[in-house]
Amino acid sequence: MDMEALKTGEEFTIKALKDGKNPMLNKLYAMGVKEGGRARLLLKNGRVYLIRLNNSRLIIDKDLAKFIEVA
Amino acid sequence: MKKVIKVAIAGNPNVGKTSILNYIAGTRLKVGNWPGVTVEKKEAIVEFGGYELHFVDLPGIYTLEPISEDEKIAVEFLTREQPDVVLNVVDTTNFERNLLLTVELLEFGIPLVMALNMSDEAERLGIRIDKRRLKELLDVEVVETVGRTGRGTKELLKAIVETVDQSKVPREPTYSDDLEEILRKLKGEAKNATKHELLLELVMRGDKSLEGRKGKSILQAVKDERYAFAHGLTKEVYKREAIADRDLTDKIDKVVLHPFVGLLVLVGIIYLVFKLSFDLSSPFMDWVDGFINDFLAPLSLEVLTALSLPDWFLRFFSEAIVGGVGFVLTFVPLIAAIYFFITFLEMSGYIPRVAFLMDNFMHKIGLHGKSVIPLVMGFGCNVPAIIAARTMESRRDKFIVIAMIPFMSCPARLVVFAFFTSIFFREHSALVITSLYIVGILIALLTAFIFKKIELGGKLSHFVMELPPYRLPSLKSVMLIVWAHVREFLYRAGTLIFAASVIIWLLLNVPMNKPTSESVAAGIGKALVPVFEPIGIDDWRATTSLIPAFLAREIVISSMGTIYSATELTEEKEEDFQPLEVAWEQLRSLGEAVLTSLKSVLSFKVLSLSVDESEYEGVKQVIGEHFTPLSALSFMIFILIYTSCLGTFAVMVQEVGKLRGVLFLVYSFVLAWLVAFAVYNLGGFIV
Repeated sequence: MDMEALKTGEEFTIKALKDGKNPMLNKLYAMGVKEGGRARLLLKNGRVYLIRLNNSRLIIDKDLAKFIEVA
Repeated sequence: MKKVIKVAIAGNPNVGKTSILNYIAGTRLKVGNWPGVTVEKKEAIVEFGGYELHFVDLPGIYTLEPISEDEKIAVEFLTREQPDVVLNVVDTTNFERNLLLTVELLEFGIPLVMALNMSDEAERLGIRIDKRRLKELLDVEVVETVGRTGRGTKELLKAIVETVDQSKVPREPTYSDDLEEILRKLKGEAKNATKHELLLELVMRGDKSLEGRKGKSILQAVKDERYAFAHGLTKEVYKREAIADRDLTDKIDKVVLHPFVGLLVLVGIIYLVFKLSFDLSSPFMDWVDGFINDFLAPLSLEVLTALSLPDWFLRFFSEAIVGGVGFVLTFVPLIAAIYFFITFLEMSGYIPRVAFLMDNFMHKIGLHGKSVIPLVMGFGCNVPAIIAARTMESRRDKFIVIAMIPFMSCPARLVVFAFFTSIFFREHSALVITSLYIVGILIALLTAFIFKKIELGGKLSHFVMELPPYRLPSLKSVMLIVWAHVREFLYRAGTLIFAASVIIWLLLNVPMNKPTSESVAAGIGKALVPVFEPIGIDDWRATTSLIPAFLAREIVISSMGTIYSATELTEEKEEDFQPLEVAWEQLRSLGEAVLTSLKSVLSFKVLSLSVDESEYEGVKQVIGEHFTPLSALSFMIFILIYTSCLGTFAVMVQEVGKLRGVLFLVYSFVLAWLVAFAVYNLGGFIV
């Protein structure tokens, strides 16, 4: 499933990044968003998500988040 | 001559690189741009242990892969400039992720010193790094630091010098056996190649040997290997005790990032920043004004007269120097105060949050929340704001944001607004100035709308950004950055503004022995009058002062000061000047300024805007006779909208090209004229 299905405050595991050629996904990967990572959805605000991954907080827009498969 | 050590500072964004450099460099910090691009470059030269250490702060990056301009600059610097040491600043609270960049840096084989920064925050979170083991495993010096307070920065200098003295070379990262085997074979072909070069060669060749791994490309396989090395290293040296998360950031974010409450907080913060900037600085502005006009100017005149200098020189001194440069200098306290609060908000971690909060709104005009950051910075100064627009990943977003920034009203415009409102709108200064700021924002939104529709349909790019935790910035770090900006302003006052004042004074006095109204300046100003007459500016002295104002907007006031004092002000009666008495008086009024400034914090109102200002009363009185409230409003609107700033124009050209830069200038001029025309003529019906 993708992040749209998650509720605020819910923890999830990153399963895969679906489009390896998208440069923004490369940036996400370098920011630590990669297979097996545990994260928590902190807030949703219209078009963007705020997630907490280890000790970092990342803003990701919903269109890009569609490429992140979570469980 | 001392031996030079070139040190490149590398690390992720928001890890405190600048704070560390601030502590190492102090007031020796220099801010500039990387050649050819507008990415900010911070440098400093420091002497230590018999060496001269040349520090260069590389842009904050997550990886050395070329995603944006930032990574390209970093890689180019590492390969072409070949620094002697890389100072890798690591956020200890995000250790494993930060190590990805460390691993990539180690591939270059350049001597490396690691700063485990934010070690105080890590301690609070129960994180412990085995420094000795880390040092052994990588063969590099490791120092714990706290950028906020400067702890450990001396040790960093020692570690850098030791690394050079002992010619320490770090251990290269080791990857899986199959990848190492491939690299060994490649190494046979290129004996001197670094691991970075070998891996690059492998990726360029599109090597298929590793594609057995879940069908991943060679590039992806190499990235996985780097993470695996970082993960292995973390397991060896990283320990985290089970301490309850006492981090307040998430709790504060629940309020600050709330879609409704968050907006109220934002409005409150903007109000407070402006209130405090005005009220804290206003008594000091009055003091600087008094110091220049009542002490420095008469004292210098006494000396100059005693030296029997010609009369024209004395006139030049009081009209061009005191009337021009001196006047602009009175605004230094206001500029310092605004920079103080903007820098404080930036370092505290609040400004990036505005991006999250405003995303919905910005999306309506075809941009994402991140574009709010350079726009907010534009209220401080348009030039660094345009530089900050580099964080936009797409050219389309970057261009739209850059086109919007010049309409965000900066302190230079405030100087003009404060001057005119104190003459024409004394009772409603706050209302008029706030309205002008709002007009600027509306024009920026209109510009985004026009540029999106006409020229750059395009698709909105993706939005990814890291939010740092909230931190209380140290006063010293904030003050050092404020000082760097104030120094830049003083430099401009001493060069650009001084030159403009001198040129105007000369143009006003050539040909000699003729009245000012027949001077060269008057000729140019008069020729321009027909262009500005429809917007209510029909005085040649006002149109003339607009010409040098293209250098920087605040010059319009100093030019008016020079022109009006040369044409209309009569010499004031000479009073007996007692240097010691006046010096004592100045000292006493400085004490009063400190008290008034502190008292103002206790009120909710913006006090300074309703205060009866008496400085430069003469010039104000003359201008009051030549403008009407409506033409003054029209003039302020023109100054607000027209990009009358050489600095802004120069970075704009650098960023979007000469043609677009010039077209934008024409656009802002036409728009400024049209809006001023509408205000002047519609206002004429109403009043």
